[in-house]
Formats: sequence, structure tokens, C-alpha cells
Amino acid sequence: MPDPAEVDLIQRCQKGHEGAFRELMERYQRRTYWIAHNMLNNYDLAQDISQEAFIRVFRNLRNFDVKKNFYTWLYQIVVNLCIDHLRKMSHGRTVDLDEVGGLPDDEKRNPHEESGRAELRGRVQKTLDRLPPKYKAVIMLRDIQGFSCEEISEIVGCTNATTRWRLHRARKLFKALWTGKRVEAARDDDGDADLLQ
Amino acid sequence: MGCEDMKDLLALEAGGDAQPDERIAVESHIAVCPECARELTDYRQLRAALAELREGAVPSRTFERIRGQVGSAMKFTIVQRSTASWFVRAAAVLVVGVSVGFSSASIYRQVTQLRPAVEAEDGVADQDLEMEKGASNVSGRPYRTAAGARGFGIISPPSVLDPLRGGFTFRIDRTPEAKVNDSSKDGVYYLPRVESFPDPHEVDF
Ligand SMILES: [Zn+2]
Repeated sequence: MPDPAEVDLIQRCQKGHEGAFRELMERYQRRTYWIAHNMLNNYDLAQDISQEAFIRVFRNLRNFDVKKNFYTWLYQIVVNLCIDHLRKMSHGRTVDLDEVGGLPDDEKRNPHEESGRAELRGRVQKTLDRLPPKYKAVIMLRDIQGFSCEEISEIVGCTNATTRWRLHRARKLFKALWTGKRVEAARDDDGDADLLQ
Repeated sequence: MGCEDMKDLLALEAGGDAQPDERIAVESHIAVCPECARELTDYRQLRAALAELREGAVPSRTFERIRGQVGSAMKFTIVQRSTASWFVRAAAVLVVGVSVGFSSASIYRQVTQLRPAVEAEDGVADQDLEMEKGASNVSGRPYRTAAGARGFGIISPPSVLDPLRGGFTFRIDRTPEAKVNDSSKDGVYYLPRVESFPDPHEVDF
């Protein structure tokens, strides 16, 4: 159930109160930005996607049902924009088995040997970037951003069972890629490369 | 349940996402299987590593820039919506203008045709007076010429047009500001100006 204070804020936005939308943005800008950054691993793109998401929210807010969760709607827009972007970027490119088959040699190190936090972040992000977009979205929302499976189902627009299925697949894939195991690629019905161990 | 069946559940249990019965199965299995216990620990460590990406440093002024860009786009949307409604209004005025003109021309014809009879009765050429009467009835009241010709001026009341205006309006000030077209003798048209919304260059938005 949405927070009453937030319902009030959204209703003020819908009525056209100028400060209310700014307040709404300030409340969500950080998480919006980081979701986009986790997905795209690029500061400029994360900024562009955040802007686009808020503009879409502004243009469609009058049709928003305040009985629903605003944040799942906003993050759904963000995630969909990111997935569209990733798919456009990979359009026409076939999945290279060697590319998804493990980390490059210089990255095949034991995680315990990593010294700096920045190094660890870099390596985690690189591994994450090898996952197909919809698996990346689910593991990012759960393990990085800490949403529940129910929230993720709303954001991604699928059933709870599908979320759990994708989550366990994503974790297995991430682990396989992290440890440098070879994985095979297959296609799922969405046209994404589904990696099978 | 063997180790192979356990693999899927370990991935879920690592994040606390296994169902209660699945959790019980995992716990009883790892109690006797060091390999799966180790794998569960690995999954948990990877989750902790992933959590490192939750937030971090961002380039300076990132959020100000986001708000600034969104603010500009909002302003544009508002003007766009207002302009669209302005065109609808202008079109409505044009339609009304044409119908009034048509109606007036028709009255003029009637009056002109009837004038000899009017003059014959009153001895006064009263064409201008009759035209004025006809034109003043655009609000919808029935009118009658001196000679008894009937007519009805039709015009839509302005309130009928209001629902056509964009619904999400940031207190648009409709004070005439930007002159768009002064070549028409029918009038000068103005674009509405957004007054209350802060300028992104002036205000941090
Ligand atoms: Zn086992």
C-alpha cells in the first residue's frame, strides 16, 4: 500500500503544483540514476536514461493511479529504457560464445585476491555486463538494489514464479562467469541469449 | 534430494529467496554435504560483492543537470499543450467567424430584398439598423427584422472549449505576451506564457 504522504505528493503533482514534481524527483533521482548505471555502466547514459524516465513520468502522471506504487512504475520505466538501449546496442550482433564463456585471462583471479573496493566494483560490473538484459535486470534489482521478489515482479511485469526463475538463473550465470567457467549460449523466446551452464 | 537438484535451490537460498520447504531441504542437505555448503557460501559472497554496486560517487552536478533537463522538457510540454489548445481555440473562432459571416450575409440579403417593402411602409431606408440588429444576435437570441424575417445567430459559448485544454497545467498565465500574428485585421493572437514555472537557468530546477 502506497505511503499516504507520497499519495499526497503525487496528487499535488497531478494538480500541477510546481514544487511537488521537483520534490518527487529529489526523492527518487538517486535510486533511478543508480539503477540505470547498474544496467548500463556509463555515467552519461545513466543521466540520459534518468532524464528520459522522469520526462515520461511527467507526461503520463495524470493517468497514474495513486493506489499503485509509484516507485515500481518509475523503476519499470527506467529498466525498460535500459533494456531497450542494451538490445539496440547488441542488435544484429550474434552472441559470441567465447565472449560469454568466461572472464578474460587477466580477470580470472580469485575474488579474495582483490585488494581495493574500486577494483572489486569494476570486476563485479564487468561480470554483470555479460548477462543478458532481463537476467541482469532481475539480479540487479534483487542483489544490488535490494528489492523483494514481489517488487521485482511489479517492476519487470512478470509473475513471482518467473522472477524467482530468472533470479536463480541469473545468480548461477553470474557465478559461472565470475569463476571463469565456460557457459553455452541458447536463445529464449524473447530473443535474448540465455546462457546455460 | 541430490547435489544436482540442490544447485538451483542454493542460488535462491543465498539471497533468502527460497520457500520455507525449500529452505528446510537446503539446510538438511548442507549439514551433510560440505561441497554444497561451500557453494552456498560462495553465492553469499557474490551477493555481498554485487551489493557494492548499489551506490557510489557520481560526476559533480549530475542530479542538478537531470533536474534542469527535466524542468526544460516539462516547460516545453506545457507550452506544447497550451499551443495545441490555442490552435483548437483559434480553429473554433474561425468556424464561428465563418458562420457569423454567413449568417450576416444571409440577413443582409434578406434585408436588401425586403428593403423596398420597408421603405414603402416606413419611408425610411433602415438597412444599417437592420444589419446591426442581426449582428448583435450572435449570442443565440432569436431576432426579427423590421419586415418580419426570422433568424438565429449561433455561436458556441467559450466554456464548451475549455475541456479541450491540456489537463496537466502548471498554472499557466494567459496574459498576452508573445505576439505571434498581427497581420490579420481580425485581431492579434498571442501565445500563452508560463509565468509560475521557474526558469531552469534562474532557479535550480
Ligand atoms: Zn551436495
